[in-house]
Amino acid sequence: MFTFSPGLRVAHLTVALAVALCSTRLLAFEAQVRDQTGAPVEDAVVYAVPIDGQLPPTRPASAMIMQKNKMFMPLVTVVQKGASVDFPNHDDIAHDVYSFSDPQRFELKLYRGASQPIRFDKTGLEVIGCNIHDAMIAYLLVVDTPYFAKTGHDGIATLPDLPSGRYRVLAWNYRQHDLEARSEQTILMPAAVPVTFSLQLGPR
Amino acid sequence: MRVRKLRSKIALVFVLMILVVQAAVQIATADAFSSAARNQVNEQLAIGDRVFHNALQSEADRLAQSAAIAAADFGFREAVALHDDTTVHSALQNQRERLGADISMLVGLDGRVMASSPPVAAAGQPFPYPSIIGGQQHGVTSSTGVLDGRPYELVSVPVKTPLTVAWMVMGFAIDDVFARDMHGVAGLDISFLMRGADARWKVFASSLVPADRAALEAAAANVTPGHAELGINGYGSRIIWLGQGQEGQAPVAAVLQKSLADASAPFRQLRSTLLLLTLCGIAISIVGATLTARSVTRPLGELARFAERIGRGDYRASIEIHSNDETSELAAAFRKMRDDIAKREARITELAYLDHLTALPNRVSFNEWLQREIDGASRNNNPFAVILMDLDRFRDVNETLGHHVGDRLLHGVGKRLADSLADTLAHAPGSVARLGGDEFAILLPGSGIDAARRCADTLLKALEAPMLIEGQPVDVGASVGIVCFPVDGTDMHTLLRRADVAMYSAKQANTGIAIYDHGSERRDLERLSLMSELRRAIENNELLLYYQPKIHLADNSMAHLEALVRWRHPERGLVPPGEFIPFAEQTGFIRSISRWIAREAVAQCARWRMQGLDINVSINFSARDLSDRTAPDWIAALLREHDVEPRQLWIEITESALMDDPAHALTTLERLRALGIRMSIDDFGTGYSSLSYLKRMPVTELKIDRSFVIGMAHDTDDEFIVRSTIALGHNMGLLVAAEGVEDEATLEKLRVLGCDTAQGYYIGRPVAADEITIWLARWNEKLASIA
Repeated sequence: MFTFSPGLRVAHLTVALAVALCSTRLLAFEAQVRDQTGAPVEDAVVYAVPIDGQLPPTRPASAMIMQKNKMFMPLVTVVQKGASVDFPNHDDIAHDVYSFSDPQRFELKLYRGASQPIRFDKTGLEVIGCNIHDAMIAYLLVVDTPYFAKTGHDGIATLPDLPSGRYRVLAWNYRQHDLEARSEQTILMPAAVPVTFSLQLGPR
Repeated sequence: MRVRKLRSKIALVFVLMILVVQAAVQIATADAFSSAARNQVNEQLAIGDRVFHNALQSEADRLAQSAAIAAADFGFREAVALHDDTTVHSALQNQRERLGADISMLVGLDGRVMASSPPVAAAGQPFPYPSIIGGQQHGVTSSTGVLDGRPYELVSVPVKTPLTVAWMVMGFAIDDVFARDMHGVAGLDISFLMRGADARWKVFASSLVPADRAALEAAAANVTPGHAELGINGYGSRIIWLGQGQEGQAPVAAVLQKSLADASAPFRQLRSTLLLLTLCGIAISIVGATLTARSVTRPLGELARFAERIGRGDYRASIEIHSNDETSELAAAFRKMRDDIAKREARITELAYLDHLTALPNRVSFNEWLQREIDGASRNNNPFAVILMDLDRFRDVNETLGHHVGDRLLHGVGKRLADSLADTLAHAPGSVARLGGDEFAILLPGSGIDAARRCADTLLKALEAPMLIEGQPVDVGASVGIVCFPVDGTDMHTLLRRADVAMYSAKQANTGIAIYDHGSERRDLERLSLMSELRRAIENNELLLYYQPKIHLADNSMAHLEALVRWRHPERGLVPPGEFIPFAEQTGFIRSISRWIAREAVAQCARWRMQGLDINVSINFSARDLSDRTAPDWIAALLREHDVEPRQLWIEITESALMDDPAHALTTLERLRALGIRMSIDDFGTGYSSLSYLKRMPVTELKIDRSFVIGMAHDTDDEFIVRSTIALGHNMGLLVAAEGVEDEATLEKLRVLGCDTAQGYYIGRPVAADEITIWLARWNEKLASIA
C-alpha cells in the first residue's frame, strides 16, 4: 500500500466513514499504535483476523517492494498469505535481494530492473536484505487475512471494510525486541471505539 | 734542591687543577649521560607505549577488517541464519585459516558461544568478554582476552542477515612470535604476563631471553593492576594493562622494557672518548706544566747562583736569560745591581782610604802603607823614615776664625805638603797622609835620618808663608817628630808612638823638628809606673800630710796650718810633691788626691779639737778640683761627718788654676763661700790673673808667691812688687799672706809693710801632725818670752 499524504488521507477517511455510514455491514476500523513513551509509532502493522476464520474468497493483493536509492521502499509491507511480491530495481546498480527468514527463503540474484515476483505462502515475518548493500533492509509481514493496514506518522492505521463479527486485532512493529511477537486485542465489529496498542519498542 | 721543589710545586698545582677540572667534567658528564640515557629510555618507553597501542590496534583493525569481510560472506551468513551448525563450524575454521587468525568464534545475541574454532569454548557457554559484542551494531571493538588459559587479541564483527543475528569473534594469539613482532615495531622488549594458577604473574610471551624473563617475573611478583612501572635492574619499564576481565581486573599485562645499557651505549662510547681525551689532556698538561715550571725555576736557580757570586764579591760574574719576560728583566736588574754594588764598594773603599777634607789618604791608608813598608823593609833591610807633623795652635784658629776656616786651612796644608813632597821627592818616593785632626804623617821609604830631616825642613818651610783663607792671611806652624826604621822600632805601633813622642817634645820645646830620643822613653815609662804606684799609694796609706804653720804678723799668733801632701814611696823614699802632683793634675788623678787630703785634714782638725786644740787647716785645690761641681757637696759632707766647723777650713787655689776656667771657678768658690769656708789665692803674681775676675772672686786672702818674698831681701824690684801686692790686696779688701819667709829680716820687713800673715822655713818647716803640737808649744814659749 502506498503512503498517502495527510490531506489525501483525511479525504480517504471521510470517504470511508461515509461508506461505512452508508453500508451497515462494511465498516472501517481504526487502531492507534503508540510506544512505551506514548509516542505514535509509524510503520506499525495492524491486522485483523476473524475469529471464526471466515475469510473472503478474494485473491490476495500483490505488493511491490522496490529498490530505489539503495533503499527498499516501502520499509514495511504487509501481504496476505499467497500474495506475490515484486521487487523492481529502480536503481542503476544491481541489487542482490535475499531473505533467510523462515516463511520463505529466497534470493533474487544480482539484477537490474524488473524481478521475478515471489509468492509467499507462509505467514510470518520476512526480513529482506541486499547482499551487496548491508544497510538495505525491508520487512514483509505475511498475514492470514486481507484486513491489514500500516500506521502513518500519527500512528493511526485504518482497516477498511471490516464485516461485522469478532476479530483478533494484532499489531506489530519492526522495532520490537522479539520480532515474532504480536500485540493482540479482540474487537467486535462494528466497534465504535478505536483501539490503541502500546508496544515496547527499541530505539529507531 | 730548592729549585726542584718549586718546579714540582708549580707542576703539581697545574696538574691538580687539570685533574680537578677533568674530574668535574667526568662527574658532570656521567651525571648528564646517565640522566640522558634514562630520559631517552623513558621517552622510548612512552613512544613504545603509543607504538604498541597503535600496532595492537592496527593488528586488531586488520583482523577486524578481514573478519568483517569473512562475516559478510553470503554462504556463511546463510549457514548462520539457517542454524547450520556444521557448516557454520567449518566456515569458521575455513575463515580462520584463511585469515591466519588463531581463533574464531560465533557468539549469539544472547552472549553465548555458538561455535568456536578451535574449540576453546564450549557451545552454550557465555562469551567471557561481552564488552566487545554487546550493543554495537555497526562498530568493531577489540579486546585482549584469555580463552582456555591462553591470551588472545579478540575482535568481533556482526553477522548481518540483514539484521545482526550473531557476532563473529576472531582473535590472534599473543605469543612469542607476536611479542617479537611487536619488539620489531616498537624497538622495545615486550613481555606479556598473565596471572597463573597460583595467582602469580607469569611471563607467557616475551621478546626477552629466558634469563631476563625470570628477572621480569621476579620483579612482577608484587605488582597490582594500576602500577605503571616495574623495578627491574638495568631496565626502564612500563606496564600496559590489557583487556577487561572479572572484577574489572585486567587479565593481561604487557610490559615494555628498554635496557638502560642499550640506551646508554652511545653515551658510553662518548664517555670513553671523553675519558681518553681527559687522560691525554692530563698527560699533555703534566708535560706542559713541567716545562713551564722549569722555564721559571731554571732562571731562578741561575739568578740565585749569580747573586751568590756577587755576594762573594765576584763582580765579574755575568748572567744571561734569553726569555722575553719578567725573568730577563730580573736578570737585567741583577746585572745592574752587580754593577751598582761594585761601584759602591769601590767608592766605599775609596772613602775608607781617603780623607774627605784634604783628599789625602787617611790613617787607614797610612797604616797599611806603613805595614807594607815594614814587611818589605824587614825582608830587604831597607831603612825608611816616618815623619809625624802636628799643626801648632790649630785649636786657636778653629775657635777664633771658625771651623770652616779651620777646614780650609787643613785642606790648604794638605795641598802644600803634597805639592812640596812632589817637588822634592821627584825621584825618591814618599807619601803624605792626614791621620786626623791636625795631624799629618809622611812615609819616606828608603830614607835615612838625614834625608828625613831635610824633608822635614822643606815641609816646614813650605808652611812658613801664611795661607790666604777667605781673604784672611792665616799663619800656620807645625811641630815635627821623626823616627827611623829599624833604629826607632820594628813594628808599626812602636814607630808611631815614638814619632808621637818626638813630635810632642818638639811642640813643647818649640823647636819645630825633633828626632826621637830614646832617653825620654825611659822617663815616660818611669812616669807611667809612677802613675800606677800613685794610685796604690792612697790605698796603701803611703800618703801623709805634713803641716806648715802660718802666723799672724800682728801678734805672731798662729793663724792656721797649711796641709801639704807627702809620699813615702816604699822604694824611693819620700817623693817630693813636685814630682807627682803636676802629673796627677795632668791625668786628673789629683781629684782623688785632693779628696784624700781634705779628708785627712778635716779628720786631723777634729782630732786636734778633741785634744783641746782649736786649729784651722788649709788645703790646696787644683783647677780640676775647682771644676768638680760636686766638690762643695762632699766637702760639706766631710765637715758634717767630722763635726768640724766650716770656718776652720781654708782652701788655697793657685792663681793660674783660677784663671784656667774663671766662670766655673767663680761658681764653685761662691758655693764654698756659702758653706762658710775661706779661700786664698796661692802663688799670686805668677799666673795670668784678670783683675776683673779677681774682684769678683769670693776669696779672703792673697798669698804672694815665694819667689818675690825670697828676692825681697836683696832685690828692690821684688820688694816693690811685694809692697804693691800688699796694697792691691788691702785695697781690694783682702788679707795678704807671704810665703817663703826664710829669715828674720824678711819677716820684719813684711811686718813693716803691713803684710797680714807669713809662712816659711824660718817660721816653721812642714812637719807631721804630732810634731805640730811640739812646735806649737815651743812657739808659744817663745812668744811668751818675748812679750
